[in-house]
Amino acid sequence: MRILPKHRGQRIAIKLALVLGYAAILWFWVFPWLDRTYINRPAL
Amino acid sequence: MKALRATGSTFIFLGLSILFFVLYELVGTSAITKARQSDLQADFSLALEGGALPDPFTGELPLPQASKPRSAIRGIARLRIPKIGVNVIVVEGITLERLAYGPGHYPSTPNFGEKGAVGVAGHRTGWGAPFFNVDRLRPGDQVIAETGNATYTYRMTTSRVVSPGHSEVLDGNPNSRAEFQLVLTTCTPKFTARDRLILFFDLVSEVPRA
Repeated sequence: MRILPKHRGQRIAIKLALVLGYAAILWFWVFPWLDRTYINRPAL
Repeated sequence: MKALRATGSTFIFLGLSILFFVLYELVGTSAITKARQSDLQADFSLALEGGALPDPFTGELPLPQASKPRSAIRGIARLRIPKIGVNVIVVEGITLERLAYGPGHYPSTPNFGEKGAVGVAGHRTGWGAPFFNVDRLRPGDQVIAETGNATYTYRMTTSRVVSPGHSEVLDGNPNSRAEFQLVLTTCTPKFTARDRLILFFDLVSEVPRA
């Protein structure tokens, strides 16, 4: 079964969108949560 | 063979994600704070030049009327620690949103120049990490705080490590008789939020602004 399209350009575009989406979720949601939960709470 | 390949790919994927996190923590957050500190420094200098007096409740320095603020919030003091090359603007408040601008003044403690212990919290990792090297400070080292009212010079007396929640340290160094103190708090060990490093300072001089 073929999930990705046949055309190389379309495959690259989909993979790029997935990578950028994953990076955005990490950068704007997961990393800030990790930062404030485990790394940075300098106040008492 | 296929399972081995999938496992290998998963580890590479996780490794890259961890590297991405390190990039976020050390570069991304600091870039945000650096830009904000640049605006705060410009606004603070402008306010000092304009002879602005600090807000009596928050200590924040207003800009001269004709000036357009560069930063969304006002600084309350410029904090310099010559030994470790720190020169930052302190903002009012200790929420993580505020500390993303720079070190924050504990609202529950007196303002600079008032009797008691002034409390300031700052990041040790990321967000400009203004207090990254405060563990290098030793008794006798200086911290200089410049406000709209005066320039205050503090000398370090001692330090200690406490677990989070020990807010009694904000009362100041119990072994010091100084009426005017400064308490800096930050995370320790570096790169974790496990404990808090507390540094105590006594005021040694106050030079009012002319």
